[in-house]
Amino acid sequence: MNISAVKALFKKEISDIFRDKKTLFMMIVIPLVLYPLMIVGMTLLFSTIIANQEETVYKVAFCDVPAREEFQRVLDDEKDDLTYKVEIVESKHPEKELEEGKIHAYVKYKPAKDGKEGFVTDEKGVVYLNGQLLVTYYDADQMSSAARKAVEDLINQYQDNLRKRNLETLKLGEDALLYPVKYKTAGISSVEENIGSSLGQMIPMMIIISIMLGAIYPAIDVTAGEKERGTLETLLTLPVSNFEMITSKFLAVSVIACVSALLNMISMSGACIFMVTTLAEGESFHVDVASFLPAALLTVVVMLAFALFVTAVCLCVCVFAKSFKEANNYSTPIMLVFMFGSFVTMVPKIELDAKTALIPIVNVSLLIKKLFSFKYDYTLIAIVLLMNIIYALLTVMILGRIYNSESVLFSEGLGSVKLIRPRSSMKKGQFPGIGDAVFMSCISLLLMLYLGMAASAKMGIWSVFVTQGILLFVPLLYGWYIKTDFRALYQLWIPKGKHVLGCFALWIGTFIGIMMLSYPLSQMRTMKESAQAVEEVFAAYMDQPFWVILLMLALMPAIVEECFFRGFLFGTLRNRLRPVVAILIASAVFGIYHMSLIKFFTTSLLGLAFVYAAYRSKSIFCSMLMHFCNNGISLFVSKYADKIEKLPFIDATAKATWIDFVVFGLAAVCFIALGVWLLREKRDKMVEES
Amino acid sequence: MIKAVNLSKKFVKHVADKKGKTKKTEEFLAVNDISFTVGEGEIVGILGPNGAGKTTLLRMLGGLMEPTSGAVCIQSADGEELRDVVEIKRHIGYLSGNTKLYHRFSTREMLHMLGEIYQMPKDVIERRTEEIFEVLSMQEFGDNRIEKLSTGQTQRASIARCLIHDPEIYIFDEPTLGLDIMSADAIVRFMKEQKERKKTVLYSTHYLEEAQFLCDRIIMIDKGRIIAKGSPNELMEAYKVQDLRSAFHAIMDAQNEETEEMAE
Repeated sequence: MNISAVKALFKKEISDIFRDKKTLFMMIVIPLVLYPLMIVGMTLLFSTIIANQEETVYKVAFCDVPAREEFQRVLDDEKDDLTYKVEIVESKHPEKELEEGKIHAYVKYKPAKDGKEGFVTDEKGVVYLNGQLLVTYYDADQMSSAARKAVEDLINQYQDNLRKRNLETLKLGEDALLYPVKYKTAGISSVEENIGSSLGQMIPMMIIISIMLGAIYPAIDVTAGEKERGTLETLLTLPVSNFEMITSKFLAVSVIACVSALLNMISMSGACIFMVTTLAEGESFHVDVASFLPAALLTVVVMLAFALFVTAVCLCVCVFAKSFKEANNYSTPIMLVFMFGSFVTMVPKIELDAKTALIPIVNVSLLIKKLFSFKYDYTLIAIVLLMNIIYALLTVMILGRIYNSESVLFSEGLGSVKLIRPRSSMKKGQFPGIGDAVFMSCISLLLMLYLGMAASAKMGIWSVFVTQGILLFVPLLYGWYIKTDFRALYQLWIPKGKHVLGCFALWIGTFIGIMMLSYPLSQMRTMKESAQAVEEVFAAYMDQPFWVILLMLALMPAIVEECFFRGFLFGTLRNRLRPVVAILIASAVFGIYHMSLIKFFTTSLLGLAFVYAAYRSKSIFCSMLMHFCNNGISLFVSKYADKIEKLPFIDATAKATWIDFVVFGLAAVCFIALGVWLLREKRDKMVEES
Repeated sequence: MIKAVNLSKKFVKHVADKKGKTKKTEEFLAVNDISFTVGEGEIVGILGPNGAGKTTLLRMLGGLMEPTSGAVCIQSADGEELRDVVEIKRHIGYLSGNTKLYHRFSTREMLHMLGEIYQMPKDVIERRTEEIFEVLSMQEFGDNRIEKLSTGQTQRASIARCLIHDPEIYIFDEPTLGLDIMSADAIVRFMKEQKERKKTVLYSTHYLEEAQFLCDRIIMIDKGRIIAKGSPNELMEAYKVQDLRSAFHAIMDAQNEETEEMAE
C-alpha cells in the first residue's frame, strides 16, 4: 500500500466531506447545539415548573366550611411550614367558577348523619370534625392539580395542630402515641453513584445514536454519493489501487465519526454538569463532578473504538447503494439495529460479562453503563475494546473485498434490502438479499437476548421455547413477506441414503475431533470458568426426565437452529456468494451465536460440518439429523455422567496420553474422510449440472 | 504507445433454476479476444453499435476494469514497457460521459488535489495548472466552484482534469456525446493538437463524420469482436462507398449475414 497516495486520497475525501453542508450540520450543529439545548432547556423548564408551583398563589373557595377562620390563621401564622401558597376566596357558584378557571379548587363540608355539625368536642375533650371535607379540583388542569396538593398541605398542617392540641388535652406524650416505632432509612450509595446509575442508562443510547448520525452521512457521501455524482469513475482513473481508495475513505469517515463522537461527549458532559449542578442547587447535596472524570475518559476511548466499527458497518452497507436515496433506505435498518442494541442498558438483568462482551453494540452499551457505576473491570474493558477493533477490522476486510468487485462498483444497485418495499411488489419465489439476511439475523439474535432474559426470569427452563420460537418464526415471517420459495431456500428435500450415511460418518469424525480439541482448551483458566457457567445452565435441566431434556435441548434446537443457520442464513448466502465464502460465514455466525469463548471454536467447527453436509446433500434434514445426534449424545453423557463413570471399562481419573490423541486423531480423520467421500459429487455429473 | 493483447472480458449472471436446487451461471463475453496497438501521434477511433463492448474495452485499457484474460501494456515516453495497472494509469488521461467532476471544489482546487494523488511535486502542480488554464482559457472561472460552471466550462474543466499529469495516452469514451457544436469542436480540436504533440489518442464515438475527419485508423467492433479495421479511406474503398457512414452500414450488413449463415 502506498502511504503517500492514501494520504493524498484521504485529504481529498476529508475536504470533500467538509464541503457538504449536510455532514457539517449532522456533525457540529446536532451535538453542539441540539443536545445542550435539549438538556439545558429541559432542566430549566423543570426547575421553573417546580419553582412556579411553589410561587403561585392558588385560589381555593371554602364553601360553608366550619372553622374557616382557623384555616386562615394557619395560612397567616404558619406560612413557613407550608410549601404552597393558598388564598381562601368567597364563591357563590364554585362548580361554575372552577370550570371557568376563576378558582383552582373548592372545599365543601359534608356533615355526618348524626345531626351534629362542624367541629365537636367529645366527653374526653377531644376536638374533631364530624363528617368530612370534600376537596374538588379539575384533574386535567395542571394548576388545579397543583392546587389540590396545596389544599392537602394546608389541611394536613391544620390537622397536625389539632392532633397536638388533643394530645395535650388528654395529657398524653406526643411521640410515643404517634410514633410507637421510630425508624430511619439510609441509602449508602453516594450522590455521585446515584447520578452515575441514571446517566449509565441514558448515555450509551445517546452516544451510539450520535456516533451513528455522525458516521452515516459521510459514509453515504463517499460511497453512494460518489456514485450518484458520477465521480466514482473519475476516481477509478487515478493511479491508486481499490484498497488504497477504500482505506482512505474508511479513514476519512472514521475521523469524522470520531470527531463527532468527541464533540458529542464534550457537549453532553457540559450539559450534564449543568443539569446536575442546577438541580443540586435547590437541594442540600453536593456533587463531586470530578469523580466522573475517569468514567468519561474511558468512555471516550471506548467511543473511538466503537466509531471505527460503526464506520466500517455503515460503509459496508452504503457501498451497495447507487444513490443517496437508496443508501438512506439501507441506513434505516442499521439505525434500528443499533438503537435496539443500545436499549440493553434498560434491561435490569443483563450485565457486562465474558459473554455479553462479545456482542457488538451491546458490549459498548453495557460497558459505558458499568463505567458510570464506577466499576472499572480492566479485563472486560480490554475485551470490549479488542472486540470492537477486531469487528471493525473484519468489516474493513469484507469492505475491501466488496469494493474490489466490479459488479458492485459498476452495478445499478443490488436492492439488497427487500424488506423496505411493499409486499405487493415482491416477486414470487425470490431469495432474500444479503442485507436482509444480516438485518434479520441481528434482529432475531437481539430479540432472543431481550425476550430470552425476560422469559427466563418468568418461565425458568421453559423459556427455551421463547428463544427457539423467535429463531424459527422471525425468518419465517420475513420469508412469507417477501414471498420466498421456502422449499428451495431451506432445502427441504428428501436426502439420498448415501448422503445420510455420509453425514453420519462426517458427524462422528467431527465429534471425536471436537472432543480432542476441547480437552486442551478446557485446561486453560479462562476457559474453565466459562465451562463452569455452561455446566450451571445445564444443571437446571437435569432434574427433568430424559425424554423431556432430549426434546427440549436436542430435537428442538436441531430443527430450529438448522432452519435458521443452514436454512435461512446459508440458503441466502449460498445464492449470493461463492459456496466457500457462504459456508465459512454461516459456520462462524453459528459459533458466535453460542456466545461463549470456550464454545466458539468448537461450535464453529461443528457448524462447518453441518453446513458442508447441508450443502453437499442438498437437504436440511441431513444436518438436522447430525445436530440431533450431537446434542443427544452430549445430553446423555451429562445426565448419566455418574453412572457412566462407574462402568467397568471407564477410568475417569486417567489423564489423556499422547497415544490416545494419535488413536482418536486417526479415527476422526478416517470418519471425516469417509463422510466427505460419501457426500462428494461425481465430476461428470457436476459438469452436466452447471 | 498502448497495446491490447488478447483482451477479453466475461460478465457473469446468476440464474437459479426453477427448483433452486442448482445455480446456473450465464456467461457472455462483452469483449472477446481483441488485440491492437495504437502508436504515438496516432488517433484511433473505436466504432460499433450500442452494446458492442466499446465502453468495456476502453475501461479495461484505462485500468478501470480488470480483463478476464489478456493484458494491457503501454510504452512510456522513456521507452519503458509497463504492465502494472496502477503504473499504467499514471500515463493515461481517461475521459468519458461518466467521469464527472468534484463539484464542491473549484477547478484549481481539484487539479491541485488530483496532482497530489498523482504524486507530483507542488511547484510542478502549480506550473501545470497555470499552463492548462492558459491553453483552455479558463482563468476567468478557474476559481469558481465547479457546480456553478456552465456545460461548456465544465467540459473544459473535464479536459483540464485529464491534462494535469501530462499523460502520453488519451482514452476518450464518446467525448462529444450530447455536447453543443462549440464544445464538441473544442474537443475535436484538442484531440488534433494532442496528435501533433505526438500523443496517443484512442476514442470511441457514434459520430461517423467526425471519425472520418479525425481518425488515422478505425477499429470497428460488434458483439465483443473486431469486425473491421483500417484507415477510413481503406474501409471506404473496400466497400466501394463514398463516406464512412455507408461503410459502417455495409460492414454491419455483412456481419449480420455471416451470423445468419452461421446459425443455419
